[in-house]
Amino acid sequence: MSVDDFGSLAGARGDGPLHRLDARIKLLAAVAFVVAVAAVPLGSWPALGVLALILGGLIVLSGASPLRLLARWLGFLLLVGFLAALTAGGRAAASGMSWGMVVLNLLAKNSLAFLMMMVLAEVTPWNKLLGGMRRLGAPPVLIATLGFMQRYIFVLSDELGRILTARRARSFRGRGGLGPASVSNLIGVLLIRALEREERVHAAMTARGWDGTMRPLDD
Amino acid sequence: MVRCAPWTTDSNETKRLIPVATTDPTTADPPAIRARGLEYHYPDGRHALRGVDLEVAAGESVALVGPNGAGKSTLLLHLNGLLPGNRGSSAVSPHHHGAGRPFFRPRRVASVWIDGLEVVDRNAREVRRKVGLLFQDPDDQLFSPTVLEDVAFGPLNLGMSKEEARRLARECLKRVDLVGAEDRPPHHLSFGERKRVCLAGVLACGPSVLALDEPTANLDPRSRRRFIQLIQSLSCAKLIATHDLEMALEVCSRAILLDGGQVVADGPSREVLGDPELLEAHGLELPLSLLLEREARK
Amino acid sequence: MGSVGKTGFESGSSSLGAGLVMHIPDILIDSRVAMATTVAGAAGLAYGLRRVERRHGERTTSLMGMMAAFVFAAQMINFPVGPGVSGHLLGGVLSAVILGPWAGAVVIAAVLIVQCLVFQDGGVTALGSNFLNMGLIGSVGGYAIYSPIRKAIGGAKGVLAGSMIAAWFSVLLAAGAFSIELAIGGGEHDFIRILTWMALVHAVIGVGEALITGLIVRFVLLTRPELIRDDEPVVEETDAAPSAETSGKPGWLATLVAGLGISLAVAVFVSPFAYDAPDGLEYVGEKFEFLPDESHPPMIPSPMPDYQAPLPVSIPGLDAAKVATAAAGLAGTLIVFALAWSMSRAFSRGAPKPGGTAAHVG
Repeated sequence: MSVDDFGSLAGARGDGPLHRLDARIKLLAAVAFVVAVAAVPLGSWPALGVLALILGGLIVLSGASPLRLLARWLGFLLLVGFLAALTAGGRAAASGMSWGMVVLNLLAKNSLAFLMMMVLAEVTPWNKLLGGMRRLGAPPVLIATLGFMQRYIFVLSDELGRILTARRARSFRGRGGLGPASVSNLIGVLLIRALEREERVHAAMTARGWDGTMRPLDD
Repeated sequence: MVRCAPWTTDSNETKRLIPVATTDPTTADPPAIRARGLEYHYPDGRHALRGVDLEVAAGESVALVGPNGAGKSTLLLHLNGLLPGNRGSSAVSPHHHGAGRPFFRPRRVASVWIDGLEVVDRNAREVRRKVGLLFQDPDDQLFSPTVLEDVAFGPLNLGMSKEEARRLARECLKRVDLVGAEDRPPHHLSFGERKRVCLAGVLACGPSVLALDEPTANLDPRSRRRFIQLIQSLSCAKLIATHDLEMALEVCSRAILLDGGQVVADGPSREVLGDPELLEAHGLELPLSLLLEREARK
Repeated sequence: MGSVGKTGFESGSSSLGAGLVMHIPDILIDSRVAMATTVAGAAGLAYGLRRVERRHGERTTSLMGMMAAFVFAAQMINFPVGPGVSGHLLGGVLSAVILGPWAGAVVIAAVLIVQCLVFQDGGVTALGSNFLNMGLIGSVGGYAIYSPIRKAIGGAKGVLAGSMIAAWFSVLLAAGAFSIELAIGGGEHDFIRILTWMALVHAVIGVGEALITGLIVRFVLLTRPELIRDDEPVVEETDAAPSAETSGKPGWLATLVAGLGISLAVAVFVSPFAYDAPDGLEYVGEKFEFLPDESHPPMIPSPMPDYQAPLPVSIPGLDAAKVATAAAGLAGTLIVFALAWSMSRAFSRGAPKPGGTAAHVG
């Protein structure tokens, strides 16, 4: 995962039936799906199968490449597996299922939830998602902050790239002299530049009439 | 008072959106910009502006030139009241021109007037609307997720409805020749395009004064030419801080040389910018076109 | 955007190693816990938003947004802490030190939301508990530990030592909370095992976080000390003697909260011993379905509870696990204190002048 991914995911290019759906519906449906998956009792494979079918259909409709989805999921698999293994014991004892079965169950459920959220991200550009959250009643300041954040993640990562390139140009050891002290200086410079930039951006916002009230353009 | 485009277009619709003040030809118009004895100290105590006097008439284009550290950007920030701001904030940079929290501090005596209006706390809203400030770095000014939202930011804050704001934003984008970029995220645009979006966003507020901070800096020749043409097409008063002396000659009838926080020279561009001793004494150089003219005359 | 991709920054959570940012995924916590933490987290966030808005007014959006963008970007940077091991900044305590406790929490919330919704890093039903752990406990709790230490030591030294110690303990506290959340419901029996593993993993993460936070704070103190949020300024306005910072004794409430936080954090490492009552051990031993095997050297308990088949892996011994955990806690604490002491030696108790020693950065 890099900032490039954020760019493509946040842009959610493409145009399909799911893309055109209202963001509120998509968000609520995705969350409802995850809650449903969580609510399915342990070991109830048929119910999970039904949910998997629904998910499969949505993946097809979204036009996302299943391989890419799977690849990303695999990246998290180890972490989830580890946590599942840790927590499976008690549930196994309580339900009478074997330990291995519980882990499998947890992994399957988690995968369904994970892939569902991936589909949501796939078909919903970040701005539309924020708009949906706002209309569902999320605090306006939070929404404004998230929108602002997205814009400046790109600016800051460009800045970071420049700092890094400049640092590498001046170092002569193999990996560009990126020891812990060096990296922390790098992050420190980025922090200071970010805060200085925020002063200027706030000035620019004020210059065009900003008074803290969020006035969105979409409905 | 002359407002910047698109108010001065012939479109009746546009005129309805923002009422344009009618000017009485019999009385003298107050100057678009007027500064008297403008003083400013940075939070660390350094004297940035030492009593600056200047005037820019309605519709006039004036270049503000001088070496780095002369106080050009600081001066511009006083035009819409972003400076003097509030001292004593913890997140303050003593070296940065944006020092202090950018909101008005009540002043008993105004040092700057825009269209005759004092630049003081109680006039904040009106002053900010009158003065369109274009920052040097478009990424400081382009803070919305999409181009259209950013250009519509000003109009929405001024109280326009969403439909009006959207329509106006599209007009302004057309004005700067960026039709089709409405839904794009800013980081997908080139530097020159981002500068033009910023200009559109500023124009959308309907200012009568444009304060431009290094508008042609870092632009490639084509974008620079485009931007110069754009600036020239705007009929409002302009104060342009710049190192691009050729552009200053082209666009501005008058030039003010600022150094060490003081006005050193104020006169027709060709005179001020054509004086090699004066320029060199203040860290500048004769623009190439004037140098060649001199050589040709010899 | 492209430049960052080329330089190969990676997400903290998709890379293995001690620097993981452990976002809880969906499903793995009990539904009741998820619901309770969602409500608690939402309430905490709402309160934090109000506090921040009250303090910063119309500047809230740009300040929180920019800091969140910074934390997000900084979290992607690989921080080499040893051969083959890399860490990543979490940023809860750092944000709190720069902007204040509730601003820190809001910043972390924003980062968590983006990570969850855009990158599926952390479950949507686990947002509440993740925010509780990293935002409230991590940032607000971290600040509660940082503030009295800073006041007690005073000056830049106090800022640096306080932030490092707070970073360490807040990670432990988060680990404890993390363990409780995972263990409730399906696995009360699992609690020790989960706690042991979480404590060990987070011991490493915590030292890394303390080190990274400390290095960054040190950099800021050297270059732009006035950026550190000040209820009491770090930077002196005049050349007068630094009485302002050192004279303010930390209030009793602040000390109490800090002490409580540190005690709880220490408890994370020590609580396995609490189960040392004989019947308690037998009960636990039965549930784990193993018998202690004296012939094999004791090891850290494996994640799998019921190895009955003869495997090359030794049967875990619970005693050794407890010792290992406590040792990790002790070692970590000593390391962090040592680092804090050595790094803050450069600063005096008095404050540095504004502008610092490094005039030109980057």
